Amino acid sequence: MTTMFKDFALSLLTGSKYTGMQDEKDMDAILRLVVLNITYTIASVLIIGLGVSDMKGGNVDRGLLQLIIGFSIFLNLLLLRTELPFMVGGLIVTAIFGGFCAVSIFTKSELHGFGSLWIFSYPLMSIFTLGLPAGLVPALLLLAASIAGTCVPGLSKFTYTVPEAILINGLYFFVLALTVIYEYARSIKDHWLSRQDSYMNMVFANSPDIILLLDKHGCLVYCADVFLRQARVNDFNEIRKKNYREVFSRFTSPERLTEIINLFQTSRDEKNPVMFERVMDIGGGGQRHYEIHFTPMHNEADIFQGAFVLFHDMTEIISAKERTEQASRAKSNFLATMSHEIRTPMNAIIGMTAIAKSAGETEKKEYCLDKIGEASTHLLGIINDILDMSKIEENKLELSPAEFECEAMMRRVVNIFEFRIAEKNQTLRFVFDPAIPPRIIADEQRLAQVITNLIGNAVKFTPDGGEIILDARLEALEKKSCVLEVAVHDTGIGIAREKQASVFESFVQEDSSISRQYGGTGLGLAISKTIVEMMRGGIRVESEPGRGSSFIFTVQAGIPERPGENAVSGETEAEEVEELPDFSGKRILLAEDVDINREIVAALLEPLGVEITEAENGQAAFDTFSANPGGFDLVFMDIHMPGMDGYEAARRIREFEASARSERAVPIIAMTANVFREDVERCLAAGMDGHVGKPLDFGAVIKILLRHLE
Amino acid sequence: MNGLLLLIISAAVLVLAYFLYGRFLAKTWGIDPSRKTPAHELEDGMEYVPTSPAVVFGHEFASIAGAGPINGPIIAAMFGWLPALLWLLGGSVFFGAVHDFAALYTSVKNRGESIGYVIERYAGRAGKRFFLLFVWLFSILIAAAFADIVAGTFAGFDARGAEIPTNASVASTSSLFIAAAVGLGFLIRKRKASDLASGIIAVDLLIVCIVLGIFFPVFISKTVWLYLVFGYIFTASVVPVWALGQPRNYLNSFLLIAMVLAAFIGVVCTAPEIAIPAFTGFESGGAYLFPSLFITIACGAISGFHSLVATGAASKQISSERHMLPISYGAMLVETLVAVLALIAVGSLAGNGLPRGTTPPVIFATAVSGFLHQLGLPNQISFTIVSLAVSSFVLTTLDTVARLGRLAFQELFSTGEKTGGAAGIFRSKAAASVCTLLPAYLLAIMGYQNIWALFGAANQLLAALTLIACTLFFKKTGRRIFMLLAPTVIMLAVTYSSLVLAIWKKFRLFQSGSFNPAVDGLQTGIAALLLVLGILVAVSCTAKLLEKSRAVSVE
Repeated sequence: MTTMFKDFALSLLTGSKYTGMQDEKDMDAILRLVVLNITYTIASVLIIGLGVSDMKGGNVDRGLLQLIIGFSIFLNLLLLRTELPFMVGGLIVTAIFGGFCAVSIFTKSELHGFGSLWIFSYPLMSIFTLGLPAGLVPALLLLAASIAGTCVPGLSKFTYTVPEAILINGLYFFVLALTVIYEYARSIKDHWLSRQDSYMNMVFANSPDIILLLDKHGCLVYCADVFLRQARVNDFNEIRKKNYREVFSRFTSPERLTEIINLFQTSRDEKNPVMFERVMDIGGGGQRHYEIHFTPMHNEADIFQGAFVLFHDMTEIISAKERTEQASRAKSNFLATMSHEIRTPMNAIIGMTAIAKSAGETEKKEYCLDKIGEASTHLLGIINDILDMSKIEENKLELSPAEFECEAMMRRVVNIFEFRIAEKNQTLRFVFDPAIPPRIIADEQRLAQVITNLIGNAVKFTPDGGEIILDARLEALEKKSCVLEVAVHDTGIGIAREKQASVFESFVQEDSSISRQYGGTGLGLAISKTIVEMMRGGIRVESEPGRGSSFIFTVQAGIPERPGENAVSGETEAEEVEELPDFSGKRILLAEDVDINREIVAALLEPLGVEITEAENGQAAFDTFSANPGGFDLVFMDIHMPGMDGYEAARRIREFEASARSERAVPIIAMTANVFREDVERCLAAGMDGHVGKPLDFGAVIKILLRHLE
Repeated sequence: MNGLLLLIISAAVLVLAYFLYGRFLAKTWGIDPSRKTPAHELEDGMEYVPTSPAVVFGHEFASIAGAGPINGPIIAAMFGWLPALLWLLGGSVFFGAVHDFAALYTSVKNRGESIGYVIERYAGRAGKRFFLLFVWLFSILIAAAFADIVAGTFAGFDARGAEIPTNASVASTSSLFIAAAVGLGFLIRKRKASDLASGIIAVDLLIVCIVLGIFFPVFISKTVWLYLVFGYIFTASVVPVWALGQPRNYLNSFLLIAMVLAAFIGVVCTAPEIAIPAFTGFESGGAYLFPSLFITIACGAISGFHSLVATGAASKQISSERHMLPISYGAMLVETLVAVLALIAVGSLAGNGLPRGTTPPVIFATAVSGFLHQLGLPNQISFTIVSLAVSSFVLTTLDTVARLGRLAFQELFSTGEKTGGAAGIFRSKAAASVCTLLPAYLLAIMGYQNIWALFGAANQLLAALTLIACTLFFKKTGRRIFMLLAPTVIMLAVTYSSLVLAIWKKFRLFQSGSFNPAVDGLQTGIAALLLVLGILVAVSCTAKLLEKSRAVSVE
């Protein structure tokens, strides 16, 4: 009831000029309007009353003038409610009231003190109506007029004595000063309040979501800055108090708009917030996917006051979701491929093992073992690929650049394929640009891996009798570095143009049927790409289906200042061990927890004539060693063992040697399935002298033995 | 009889008429608020300007309320107040307001064209020509008469050269009105001010102009004023309607309504006794009740001039068909109320003996300021203000009529497709204005009084012709016409008998030998011309009306 009355009173006093939700500026105007309406109405009624009494008292002319002035003030109060600027109406009302005040100075009234009351109230009224700077002007004008009226003899019909005049003008000045001080204090308070509001403003200024506040007519009251930026509106006032339909129509089609308006309307009618998603282009860079929330707002009396509209940009989230889904799909595919890839050689291994067991003649057994060996090597390759890939995914792949002979490395790679080339009756040509510096600095192993992969693919996808070319050229040469371009051309099945971009992605093969036909994990190219990019190069493919493909990559390599100085000795592995050396009399301590592995090592090393002492964990190894220091020429140390692990055991042995002041340290060689570089480094840090990976490569073991036992 | 009772009865009749008969007409003829009015359809910023109903009403009311509603009843009071009142009420409700509404309706439904075009469309080109010629002559007559009246009310010196402060104040206030109107027109048109804002500012301007006018009177002789008035109406006829004509009439309408209100309040508060007899007889001062009464009281009951305003200005400005009823029918009824007030005014004065030799406007001003003086207003000021209002009535009518005459002249020459030659020149605004206003000026200085006696007849004849044209349009478009038939027949009978009587009188003069070739010859000539033109238009329309053709729809 009281709310209704207040609403009615407000609309009576302010007209329909200010409706709906208000911002602070409007509130100020409303307050002024209400106060002005009340005070000026009282003033005009008093003036009209004065006029009527004057007319009755025989002062017809002045009474009439007062009637007109009172009527004019009252009439022009209505002007404050119209669409004309507040200033215009205020100025007119102030001028009429000022005119009346001036008239009451110059025409003597019987109501002696009453005339001065008008004049005193004037600064208050004018400053309140027009604001501090503009309102001062008429107030001071009237002050001047009143001074002139009281001081210049004959001008006014008042006859004041000088002390009276000073008193009156002093009083006027006092009221004026009070008004100014009050107004100034108020402006300070406003400023302070607006700073309080600044948190609210900051929400609108900084919100990443588009927030719009609508009043009850659907006109914009506030909006987040991000909307202005996106919609390319320079000044909020351009769209302030505009209907949202008009604003939305800038970036939505009419049908869309009608749909949105209907949704808003329904939400408003049902007093329920609504949420829906739309793809639209507000202007901030193409079509974006928005989640639109429309929340109608009601006051305590449950009367609709406006609405809160929020546009939440879902584009990123939705595309991230899509990417995740795609990745997970790719991983499932990968898992299926892996399963297939691993099961194929496993099938060979298990099957051939079974055949070998049941086979009587040695020839057949040998055949089976050959096949098992082949399948195992293949399996190892697959597992290495997967490990590389998982390192790449975790960003753990690191390069270890070293100086090496480039041409020699490539020839070795080519040599590896000789057998398979011959098998498929293909030709492999190797073209090496003589301009390439003989020795370069790069990660030889990784570079070889890339070339191996590419040639492997070429061999795989090129039909029998095809030709493969490995072409290495110098692309650029500087003082300390050079850029190599290595191309592998083949005359294989080729890759369709639209598929060319995706061949370098993980787990993607051009056609999933390919993996069934040719085998392969689909990881090789992704790994190669990563490696090449780490070497500050790039890889690309040029291909025509049915005609063949060319995989071309570039890498940046360093050039050693003085070739040969930093040559790494690890490059001797290529030398094949012609015949088994004889290590008779040498004693080896083998720390290994798994029986079968101990058995394998023992069996492998048996032909060499070494004497092997076995220990099933680190503690046992250390105990055995410390019980007989100097009794062993070499220690093979597994890392993962129950109880004391390999690292700890190696450290203990070193400590023991140090405390025992032994003349020479026994070589400790890690023999472990932890084959990554950091594992090797960790082994060396623990005091070991070398590393052989599992599964054991017999040649590598012999090389180690040769180095450490001779 | 008490004036207050008379006023209450009249007001009740008029209000009832508006809500019963007016609404009935609108419903019968059909109002389609969704249809685009000519102002929207053909908007050109000059003639066709969609305007808020308050402004159009002000324009229409100020234009139709000329000297007529005040002069007519005051003169017709010689037959007694009862016949005058009956004709005022009955005539306006069933004749005049219907005529105004029908004319506006017809024009709005015909792309805002004037009645001339409607006649051309439904009765042929010849009928239109006669009609336009008639309108043009009529406009010249009114322009001459009203310009002279205005110059007379502005004249700062009387015949002996003494200053007349009232006239001088009226003159300076009216001049200030014109200046203020230009500003107001700009505000309404360019700033798109709302009705409330423009209304308040109009009242402010009005007060300021009146106060300034009273304090700073302008003393200029009548001859000079005549030049100035013609210069002004030439300008008003040429410039776009929103720049001068429309806002000035709007501004004035506040004054007029204030005056009507003041007279109304005055009558209500003082309740003056009507001192004249109810009925004096069928013959008074050599004139017969029929047709004299129906000719004398024109604007208060029915006036052909209204159709010119409605079809020449209002129909091109209204922004919705819904506004047609208040703007035509409503404005007419308000005017009737003015006429009733004039009747009461003359009745109240008669008790003290009518001041001899004064004009009806002065009688009215004296009476109304008398009412206001009883309420406590100073006599001089109220007399000045009422005089101002009366002269404003005349001046607003004057600038509208200049525009209408110009339009009629232009239409007269815009029959064919050819644009060059003399017709092209005559179609230009300036030339058409000169061709209309120059004869009017000559007539004014020669003495329009000689033919003024014919004004009433010509005016009513115009009403009759408009009614025929509207009937034609209504019939051809399948609307009901019975409400138009009786007014048409009666008005034709009234005007023809009046014109025949006038010619007969001249013939008697001629017989008796006291025929003045200059004055009476002119009168007879014009009377005959009007008679012939009227008959030609009426015949061509009636022929079509009686044609057994199927209704054609133009909409």
